Amino acid sequence: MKQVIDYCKKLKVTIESTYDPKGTGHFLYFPELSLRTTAHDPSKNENVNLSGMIDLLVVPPEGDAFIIDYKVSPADYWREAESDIAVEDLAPDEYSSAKKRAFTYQLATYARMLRKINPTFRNISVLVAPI
Amino acid sequence: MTKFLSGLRIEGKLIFPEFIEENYFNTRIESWRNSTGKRFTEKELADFAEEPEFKDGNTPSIMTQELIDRLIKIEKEKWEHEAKVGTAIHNLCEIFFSRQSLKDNNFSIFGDLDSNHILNIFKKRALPETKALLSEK
Repeated sequence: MKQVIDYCKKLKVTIESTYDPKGTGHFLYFPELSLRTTAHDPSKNENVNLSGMIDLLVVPPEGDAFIIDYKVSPADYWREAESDIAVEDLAPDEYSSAKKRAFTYQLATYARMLRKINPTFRNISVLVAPI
Repeated sequence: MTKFLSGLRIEGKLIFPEFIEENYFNTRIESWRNSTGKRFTEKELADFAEEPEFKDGNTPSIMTQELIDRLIKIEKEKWEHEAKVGTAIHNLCEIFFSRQSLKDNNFSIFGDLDSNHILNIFKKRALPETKALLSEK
């Protein structure tokens, strides 16, 4: 469990040093942030209420936003990205393209929900943090 | 959110395949019963390593129904355990980051956010079954 805390510390340092290398700004952290909005469901052609929980929203000083999603799994999140591994060669317990597609949609939807709730965010980036 | 995404379709087909436990295990059982090829995944071999049929790197040549039921039970228990670990990790991350903004604002009352401090908060909040995970690596 201490490794998790160390991971969080590294994640924080990485984000801040990458985004603000001079360390002049102040970052805000919103863990487990609930979002609620409406969206159009094309499959039913109607508006539906959407709610979700962002694992971590980071707001740097410049008005951007980072949505961070922890991926906790014994499977290697990045292995499938290796070009020489075909999806059908992946073990059932590894991240499939379908799972990754779901994550991508989920995070993109969070980003759109966040922009709808707070249009002042300049850029909204989404990051996956495999723990 | 999950419900919304899982229901999205293009031309009648689900964008995200639905996970159906029964189908999953039917596929796995078919693989376990194969006489050739890679019958067990690396993770399955690790999960089943304590079973007599898998000792010393062996794999069972005959898959009885009793063995299949036992392996499925092991897999389900592993999933439950992994879910608890996932919840515990999310809780720890929440405790860590919920204090970062305050710390950065020099609210010294929150002191230094060392690992033991965060783990103590986690111990107070966590359910008994996730507390037990603290003793694990």
